[in-house]
Amino acid sequence: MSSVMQPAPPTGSAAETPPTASRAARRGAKLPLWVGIGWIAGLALVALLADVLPIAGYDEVVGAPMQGPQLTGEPLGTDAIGRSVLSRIVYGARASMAVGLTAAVLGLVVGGFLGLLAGYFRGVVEATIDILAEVVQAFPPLLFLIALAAALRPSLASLTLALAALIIPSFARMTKGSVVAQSSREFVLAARAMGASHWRIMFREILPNALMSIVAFSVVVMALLIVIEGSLSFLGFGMPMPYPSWGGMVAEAKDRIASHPSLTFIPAFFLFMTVYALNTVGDHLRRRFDVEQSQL
Amino acid sequence: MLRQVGSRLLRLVPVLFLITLLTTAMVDLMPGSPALAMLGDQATPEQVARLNEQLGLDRPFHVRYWDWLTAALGGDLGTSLRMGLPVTTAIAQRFPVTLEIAVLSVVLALLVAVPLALVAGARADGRLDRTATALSSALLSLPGFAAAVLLIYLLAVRARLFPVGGWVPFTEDPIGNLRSAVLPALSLALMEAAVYFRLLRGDVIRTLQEKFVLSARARGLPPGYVLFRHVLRPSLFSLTTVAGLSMGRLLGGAVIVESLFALPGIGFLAIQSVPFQDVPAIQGIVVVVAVTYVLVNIAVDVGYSVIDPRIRAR
Amino acid sequence: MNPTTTTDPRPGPEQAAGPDRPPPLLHVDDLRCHLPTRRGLLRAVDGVTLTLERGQTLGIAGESGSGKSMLVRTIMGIAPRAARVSGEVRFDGVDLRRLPAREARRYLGRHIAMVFQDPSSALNPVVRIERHLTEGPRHHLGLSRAAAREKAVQLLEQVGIPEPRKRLRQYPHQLSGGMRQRVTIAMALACDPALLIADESTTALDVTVQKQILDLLQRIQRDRDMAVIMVSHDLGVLAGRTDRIAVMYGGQVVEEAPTPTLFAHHRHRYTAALLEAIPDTARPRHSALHTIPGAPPDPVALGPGCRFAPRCAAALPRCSTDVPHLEPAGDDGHRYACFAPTGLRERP
Repeated sequence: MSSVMQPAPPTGSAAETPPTASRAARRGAKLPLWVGIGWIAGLALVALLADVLPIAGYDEVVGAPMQGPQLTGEPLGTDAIGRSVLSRIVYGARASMAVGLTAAVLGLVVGGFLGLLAGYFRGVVEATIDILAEVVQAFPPLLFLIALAAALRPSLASLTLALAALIIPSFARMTKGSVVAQSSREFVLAARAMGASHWRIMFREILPNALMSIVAFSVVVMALLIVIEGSLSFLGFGMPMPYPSWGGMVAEAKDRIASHPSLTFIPAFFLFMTVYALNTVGDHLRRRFDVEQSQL
Repeated sequence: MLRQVGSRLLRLVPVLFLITLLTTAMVDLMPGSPALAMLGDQATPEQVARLNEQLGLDRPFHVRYWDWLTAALGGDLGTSLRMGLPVTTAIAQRFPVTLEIAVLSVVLALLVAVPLALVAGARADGRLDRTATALSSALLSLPGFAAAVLLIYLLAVRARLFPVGGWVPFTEDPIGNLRSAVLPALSLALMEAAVYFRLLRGDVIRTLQEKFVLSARARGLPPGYVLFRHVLRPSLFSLTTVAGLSMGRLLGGAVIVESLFALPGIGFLAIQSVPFQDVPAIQGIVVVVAVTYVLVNIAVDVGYSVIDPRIRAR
Repeated sequence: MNPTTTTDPRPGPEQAAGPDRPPPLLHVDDLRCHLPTRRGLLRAVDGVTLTLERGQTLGIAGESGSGKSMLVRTIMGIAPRAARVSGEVRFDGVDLRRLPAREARRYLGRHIAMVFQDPSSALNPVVRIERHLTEGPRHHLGLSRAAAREKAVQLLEQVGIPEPRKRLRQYPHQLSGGMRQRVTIAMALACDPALLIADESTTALDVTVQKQILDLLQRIQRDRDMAVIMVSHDLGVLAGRTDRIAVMYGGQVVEEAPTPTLFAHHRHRYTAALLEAIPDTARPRHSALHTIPGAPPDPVALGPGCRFAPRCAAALPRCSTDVPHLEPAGDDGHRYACFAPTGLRERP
């Protein structure tokens, strides 16, 4: 439950490449960003087109088990049952990204709305939402997810809902911080003086300003959700059978790591690259919109 | 300040109430029942019903919850359905393991991150800084279990330096104890170190822009002295908060690492209890973890005032 | 280095160090400090030549952005790490810029000391006053902790802080602004420097305290026969407390003269404008304050010609194309760089 709930902290705008750095250094600093964007785009494309790609199904037995990567056969080898590692990676990507994206969006919508309410109305509303957030956040996350997943029959939907429920407090806190900062600014006072209704102020004035930093935050949150989902699948409580998951693949292969390390490292590598890409892009977006009040 | 602590402690009450309520409700929602889990698939429905009655599991929800709550307030967290031990005993046995791993992880992470961040921040954008920052970005993206698996492969399987799993209690064999703690602590420490490094490096760079650092340089003080005696302490504020919070989290038990290395800690206990629907154990663990987490949070807030003399005065 | 941007092509008579006279305490020769930034090269200091003898007080005047703070930082060798510095900084004959870092550091704080503007940020909030005062002497003079503490007490007494022993144990936030400024002065004096640089050291204080601090500085200077460089945007502060004044604009010295001469016979248009801008209680009430129109030049995009020309009411056509150089006026060391000086006809 430890390192799981920990998205990358922002590096802070002043602390990145100082303005007096050479042009080459600044260009070098942009490289990870392009790699990140490229990876995400490529992965998303492959995941979307999975069904039409010339790869085996994720549950098909295509050859002898435990074969290493080959040039002529399976490019990434086969797993313990003889299934194509490449296919499982591709479909695992689809599953993980779908779950992560949906959960993030759900969390954003619900959490963002709650945060908007809390930050705008303050008082009792804020206190209630704060306590609810603290309840969810004080709960050991993995335990929460495992229990929730066990309680609601394991399915993609229940997994997504559980992940969303977990991340709603973070979104709420983050949005609240942003909204509180906005509410004291003059354009809000002006709108109120003109007699605008609460809803109008919240949605037309405050939300658009807070939106960009929320969106930047959600990219990083997606990275976190993919890690959590991977961890859950690793423990056996995550992606329901028969869907493949990178975390699950690592779990399956870890006992044979001495003889067939590639079976473990390939899914681990994909996990790592995806999280890295999302973190890098999200970090860049966060710095652009200067989120100092990220509350997790 | 006392008032602040008091109000935070007061908030603990509704939070704990809701958490325990939620836990009980969730376990209730799980398909089957603890009795079924205990007796196995072969049991007849009558046997299951009888065991349910014996365990008091057939009573209505609020009755069960109330009984548990009143007992818990008196310090009795019930008896584990799976192990037959009092839950408090089971947790007490396992807490030192989790504690040792948590402390070791944070200490290791700090030992690595603090000097690196100081030096990297002092020469921002230099070679060391760029390497360390890239490395920290990479480590941040490595999920705990992947790091653990990697470490097991490199250090346990290939290099045979550390055991693949298992736990040796300190009282039995101090060296063996440390050896069995290193890999788990290291798996956790890697990501923590990356977080600490990023945070401290940013703060060091910010502090270096302060006038008092320029003033120290203008007085001819050596750069090393300036770094350690003037820059370090003002830069530590965010880091101490985060490290404290990390400790709070880790004390909740690193579920993945504990189960991977088969360490008898709280996290592993939790994982074992869930499929077994060991209600008392689950409730007890959740309470202990939540209380620890909130208390550590409060302690961190209080500790902040110790570090920053400006707050102390108020 | 581009010779056409140098404002002082000939060394004056004071800089020559012959066998019969000791070198001046400080001689700055064509000092430049350029900072590469995203928008271009920032020429913060662009060819400054100055001399200072022992016991003298030199005032450096100019608006914010004129480069005066960067000048003193460059003299001390604590310009930003990315800065490109050229020129000489000779202290007692030794070119500080040519020394290896460790050697140069032996001068800082020991022979040349600086008092910073805004004492709230010049003092480390988590460090007690005692350490602020003792770390310099302990490092430079090798004093023991006890000896350094005694010295710290004496220093606090000299700068007029009551109950010095109690103050040593305190943190900066527990002192008032005026006391903090006195502490920064005490820090600068800790190792008995020969040269004290006071960078806008009273700007952050209110007027009554300002006078106290300036009087204190003057008294200390007389007692110790210290040389002082006083940097300020306020010519009023510099009047009566300096021997000479150098006026800076756009990173360069545009006029330099003994103080009485500067006030009475200034030539450069910018100097004139600065003096005009000093509120004068002798003027009729409610008369508008004189301001200098426009804003300081963008140090990244300096145009050709005189840098003050865009704001100068008396600018001639050639002011925008040719660069004026520092030329002497009279024989008391008065120099200025202007094609259309006040009080004279246009120069050929």
